[in-house]
Amino acid sequence: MIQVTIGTNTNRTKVNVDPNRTLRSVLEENEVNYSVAAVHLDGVSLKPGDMDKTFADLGITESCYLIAVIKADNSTAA
Amino acid sequence: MHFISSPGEGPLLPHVLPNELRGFYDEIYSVYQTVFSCSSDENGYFWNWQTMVLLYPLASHYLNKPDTQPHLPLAIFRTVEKNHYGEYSATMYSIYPDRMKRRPNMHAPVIYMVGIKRGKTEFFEQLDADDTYVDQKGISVILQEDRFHKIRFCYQENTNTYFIFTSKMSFSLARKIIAILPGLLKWELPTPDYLDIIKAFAGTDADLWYKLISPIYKKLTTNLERFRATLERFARALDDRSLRIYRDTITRCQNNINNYLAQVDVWYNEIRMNQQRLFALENMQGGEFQEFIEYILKHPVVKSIEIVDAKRLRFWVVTPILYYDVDAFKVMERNKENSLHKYPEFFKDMLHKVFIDGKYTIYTESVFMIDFQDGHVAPSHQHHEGTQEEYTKGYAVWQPHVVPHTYHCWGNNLPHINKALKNRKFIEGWEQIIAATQNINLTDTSVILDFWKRIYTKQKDLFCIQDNENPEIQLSVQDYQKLYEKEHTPESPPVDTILDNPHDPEERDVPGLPF
Repeated sequence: MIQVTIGTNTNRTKVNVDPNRTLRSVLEENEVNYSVAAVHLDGVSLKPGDMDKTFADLGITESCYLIAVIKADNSTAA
Repeated sequence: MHFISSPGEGPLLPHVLPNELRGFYDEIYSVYQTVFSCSSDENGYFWNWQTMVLLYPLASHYLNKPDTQPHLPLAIFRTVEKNHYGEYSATMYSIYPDRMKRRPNMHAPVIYMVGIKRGKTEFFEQLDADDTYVDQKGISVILQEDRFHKIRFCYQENTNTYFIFTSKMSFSLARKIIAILPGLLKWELPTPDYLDIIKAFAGTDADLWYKLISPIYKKLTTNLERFRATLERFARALDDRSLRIYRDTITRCQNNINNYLAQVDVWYNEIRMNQQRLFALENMQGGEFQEFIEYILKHPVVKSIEIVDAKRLRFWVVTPILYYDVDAFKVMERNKENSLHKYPEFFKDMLHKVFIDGKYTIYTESVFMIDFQDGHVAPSHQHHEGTQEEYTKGYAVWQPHVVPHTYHCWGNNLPHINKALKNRKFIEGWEQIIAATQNINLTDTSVILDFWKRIYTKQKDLFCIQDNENPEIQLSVQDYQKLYEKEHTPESPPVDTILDNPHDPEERDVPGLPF
């Protein structure tokens, strides 16, 4: 089992999951709406295909942070 | 004794006041003016000592009754004398202007004696034809002094006003008017024989009237009982004053309590704010911030860190541009007037491979500051000293939205960043910052044009793009230009020869470009 810290702008939870589970299933189980978010795994932005990879596929063996940030635009308004 | 018989004898000061009343006059006067109002009575037809002496017992009776204060005055006396010059409406308006119809104390009846001096016959003819003023003949007959005397007694209910239009003003007429008021207005009489006294007042024998009213005053003026009314009034005033003092004191104390509570609220908020800061600082020593330290030390984008002061850190990060609007770039390519087309082919080719083909990814360097105590992201440097280049490390070209001295644009990311940082969720706030550095808003024309210009000129030798299939291939714009020129053997000299001109280090002189 690995410990995954799932963080969003409103909540943070720590869960123990099987490393052979996909990121998508863990996010869905924890009710994270990743369709409107950019997901970062230990500081690396995930590509669309990565969501269906397992934690083990992505080299996670002990613990990790799975952070879902809001997709937003920058602008000239400084 | 005789009744006042002419205007000259009707002023306030009682020249012929009986001796036994002289010490009592002030009392009579103050009570009378409390219970009766006389707003306009130049000749003293109603405002004279004899009327006051008559009505004082009645006024005292009402003044000493509980709960009558709101109903005072019992009556308002007015007198006026007018000439009528034929214009009836003008005369009536001068007698009874609109302001009198809007008086505030409408509950008190107005006894209005109106003397007509000139044009009497014509005035009374026109008055009789006016439906607004209906004569109550029964009363007029009683008031009429002789057969030549024209008099009309009219009542207007909507303004609660009794008009006595008369061709002759006199004190005897005023006394008769006074005499009919108790019955007309249903006043309570202070003594059973008071009606007889009033009748005598309406007559011509002043001695008889005074003989009748004297017993009332004898009681008031010869023994200590005369002080009763005065003392009772004083007691009421004293009570009122005491009540007012107690009420004022209560109000003042209540205000003090309110002010004190408001101040307590201010102090409480200050305590809470300081507790929050203390809690934050305690967390920064361990806990949340310790977790952030562990996280950041493994974070691949961090290139450099600097302590600014006790609460702020400065970070340099290099991140790929991952979030952009492909359609916005296609629009730029389609629109031949777009400034993009002022650049050489190799440059447009590079951007096409970045945004359309996905062969390369642009990497940018961002420098910013995080305030961990107040919880916000800030521009990398507070003071604009030196050149822009002094604030960067040269790891890569600058993020277009985060440029020292120029842009600190986190856009819609900013509230999410600061909310997370304020809530001590440093890792989430950090990742939102990183996501913001991975974004480029291609519709933000001024920022984008500035970015193209900068990477084409000033920062052409800095790391800019990475090959997605072979990440070890990392190129600057200058590198890409050489690569492009090798792949496309030029039939003519390179378009961008100016870039290699040693005498032209700045970008402003590049011919054909929009800057």
